[in-house]
Amino acid sequence: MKKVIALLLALVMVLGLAACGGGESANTQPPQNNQNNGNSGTNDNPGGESSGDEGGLINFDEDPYEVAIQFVGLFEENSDIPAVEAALNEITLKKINCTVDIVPIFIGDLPTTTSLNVATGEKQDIVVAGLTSTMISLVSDDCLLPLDDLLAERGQAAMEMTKNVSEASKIDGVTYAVTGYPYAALAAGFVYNKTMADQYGIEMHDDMTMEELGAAGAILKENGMYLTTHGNSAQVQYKFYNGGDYFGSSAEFGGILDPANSTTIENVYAADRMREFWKTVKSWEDAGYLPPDQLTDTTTVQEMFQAQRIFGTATSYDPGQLASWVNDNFEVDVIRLNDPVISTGSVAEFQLAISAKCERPDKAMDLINLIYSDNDVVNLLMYGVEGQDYVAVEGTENVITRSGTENADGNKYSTPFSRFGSQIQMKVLAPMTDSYYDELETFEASAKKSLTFGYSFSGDAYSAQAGAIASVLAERLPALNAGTVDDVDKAVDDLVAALEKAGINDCITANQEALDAYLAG
Amino acid sequence: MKTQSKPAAASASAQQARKTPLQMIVHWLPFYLMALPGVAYLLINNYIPMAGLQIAFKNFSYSKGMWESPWNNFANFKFLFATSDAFIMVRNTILYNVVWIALGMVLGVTAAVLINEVIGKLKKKFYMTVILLPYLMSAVIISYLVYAYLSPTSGLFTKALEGLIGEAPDFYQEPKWWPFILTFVNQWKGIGFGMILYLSSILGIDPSLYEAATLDGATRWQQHKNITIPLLKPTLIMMFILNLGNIFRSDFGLFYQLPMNQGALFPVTQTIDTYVYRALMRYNDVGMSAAASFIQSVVGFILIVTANKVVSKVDESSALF
Repeated sequence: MKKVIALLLALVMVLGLAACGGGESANTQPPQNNQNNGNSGTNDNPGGESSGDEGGLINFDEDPYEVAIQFVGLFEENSDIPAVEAALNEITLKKINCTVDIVPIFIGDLPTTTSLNVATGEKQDIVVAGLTSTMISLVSDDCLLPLDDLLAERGQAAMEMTKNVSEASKIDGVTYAVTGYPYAALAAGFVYNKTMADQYGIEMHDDMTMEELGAAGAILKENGMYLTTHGNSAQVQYKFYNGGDYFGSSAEFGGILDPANSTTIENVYAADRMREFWKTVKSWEDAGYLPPDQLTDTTTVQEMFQAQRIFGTATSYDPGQLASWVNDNFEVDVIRLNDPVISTGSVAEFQLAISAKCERPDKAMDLINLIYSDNDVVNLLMYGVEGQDYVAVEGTENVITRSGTENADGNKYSTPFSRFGSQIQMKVLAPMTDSYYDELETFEASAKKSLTFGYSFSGDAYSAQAGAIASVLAERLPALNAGTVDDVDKAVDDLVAALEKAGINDCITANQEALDAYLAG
Repeated sequence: MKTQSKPAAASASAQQARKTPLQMIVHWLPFYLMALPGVAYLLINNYIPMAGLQIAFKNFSYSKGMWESPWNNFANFKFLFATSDAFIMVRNTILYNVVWIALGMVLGVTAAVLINEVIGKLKKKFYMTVILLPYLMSAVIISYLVYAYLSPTSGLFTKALEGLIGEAPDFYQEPKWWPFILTFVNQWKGIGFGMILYLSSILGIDPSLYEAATLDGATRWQQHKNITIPLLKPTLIMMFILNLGNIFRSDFGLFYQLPMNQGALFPVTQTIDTYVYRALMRYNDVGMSAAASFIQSVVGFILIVTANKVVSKVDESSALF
């Protein structure tokens, strides 16, 4: 009897396992390429943009395919997504015979959602790469499709629009993504509450030093306000040092602080300028310019800024940066803290890629290409439906505002973390003006290009060290960033010693060798 | 089964031996049918996922899936033991568990005995509910409760200390306090569950034993020492063996949420689970996570089997299997 039961149990287990295995293999079928039947879409876009089917590649006889595209945000309700989808579908059905499914994803869930969807075969077509996990890690996890053939066949507009920075979307010469940030020059900036600055007589200007910011902190303290907060951050404070090339999510494979002039990778945590930065932050903390509970307060920097609990915060700087910070309650402005640089990191942060398990890569590429060729599609994805989620500012050509709409707080439709198309295609949010496009061109032209542009390092062989380094950073960096350590020199020395013990020098050596090989061609 | 007397068991097996296989099937079928939902649950939830253990030895590819990913032998295990953090996280995991297992037994039995002494059904229910309530709370809520007491700027306890002695420690930056805080919270949270478990065993003790002891002039303390504790021994041993199986695991919610993810506290709050979680949140490497779980399971299995073997040598009737 026992044998019979045992056999039955074994049978059930084997069947169960076989069923699981069947599910896996069912999803590994190669996608069928769409056949060209000679039909073409109509070009009824008044802006003179392409139809999305210039080569006659679209099959309008088949049932429209629904392309699922990731839409990364915070906790916004985004209840206007169906309306945006409906407006998009009117265009996409005519031009590329597909519909669009906008899939909102909380930024914290992005890395696991993308990879798990690939593993389980859950529908996802266009994914965001580089924002929370590097493109190289997604590629080494087999989550992305190579795009070279698809781009050559049906992605001409996307290629043309991103050609200046396309190297940054390649790994070992293979293209895996298309950047949503082709104007990639970035500097360090400081966004601040202009209403408050005017009220307290604080003068803010470009190239402000840390000492000058500290002086602003003194005025703010007299008025019961905090200068800024660094929260419980285990990241290198890169916003103050934008323009650097940092390898890994927290420079655990090293970094180049001046990539426009150097190709030497170093331990950025041991750099003198970082030590000086932490000393300045400590002086701010000691003087009461920073919230005393910043390490345990779980409120985000954005929330603290909007609630006017802090004066400002370090941020990336480009001519379009204000769009992420504007609100109805007070006036916002941003200053530039250093010179702009075009680096791999700035290009790679906002990229669109195609999921390895996408059923119809051809349709996904059609949509990507349409995004880069149709400004209406870009503005729908970025800002929602005109008249509902935003309105045009009178007397301007391309300036819009959410004020006065039900989407004034961005809760109905907004995406702080997704970029679709090129910045040059998008409308701009007030207080930016129509001069934005000229400023963007000028800013881009003024930027130096990183000498390592296009290079990225796969840390796969060093994941054990990376885990240990991340643990050291998580343990020691927040207190340094918050300025709560007793002795900065000792804390930095201890941090560097712990990082070296965790193997950062091995990672840097391997990274430098790989970079040298890359530069040697 | 172990309480069945030998003659009765012998008689039952003699009766079974006389039955034909068909009669045996008819006899036992209802029991197997009754067990079916439980067996199905075990199969689906506990056995089928074991196929995933292979991920610990593979360079997992999301696209290829579990079966097609290439093997990489023990590369995933290096991540746990190649660094100096290994000692700290293993030490923390094991030491906290050892202290909490011992303390949990002592406090759980004490609470159960005390509750058993309470006269009045309503009062008893009230105390039981009050003691059990923390067990039902999530770690996130508890972390904010603790923060309300220990916050550096507005904590009730910190402010009281400032008022009394002029200054208060910054609890979230000083590791030395956290072995006590974590132990206190763990026991406060878990004592209710232990109490119910031991109380159910105490209620199963024949009251006539206590009556006889009272007639013989035994004090309350003597009654508990000579009747309650000895009769609780099988339950205590069972709980001890089961807890040993989890000695390489930690209450993730407690260790991650309670210290508010403060890096300065890692030397005393980093356990295997939190280390793996933090590394995975950054690198999203399923192979490493599987390797860590694999080690935890293997160590737990070895400890359970060993402990059971030791117990069965000392007192066969108390062994689990």
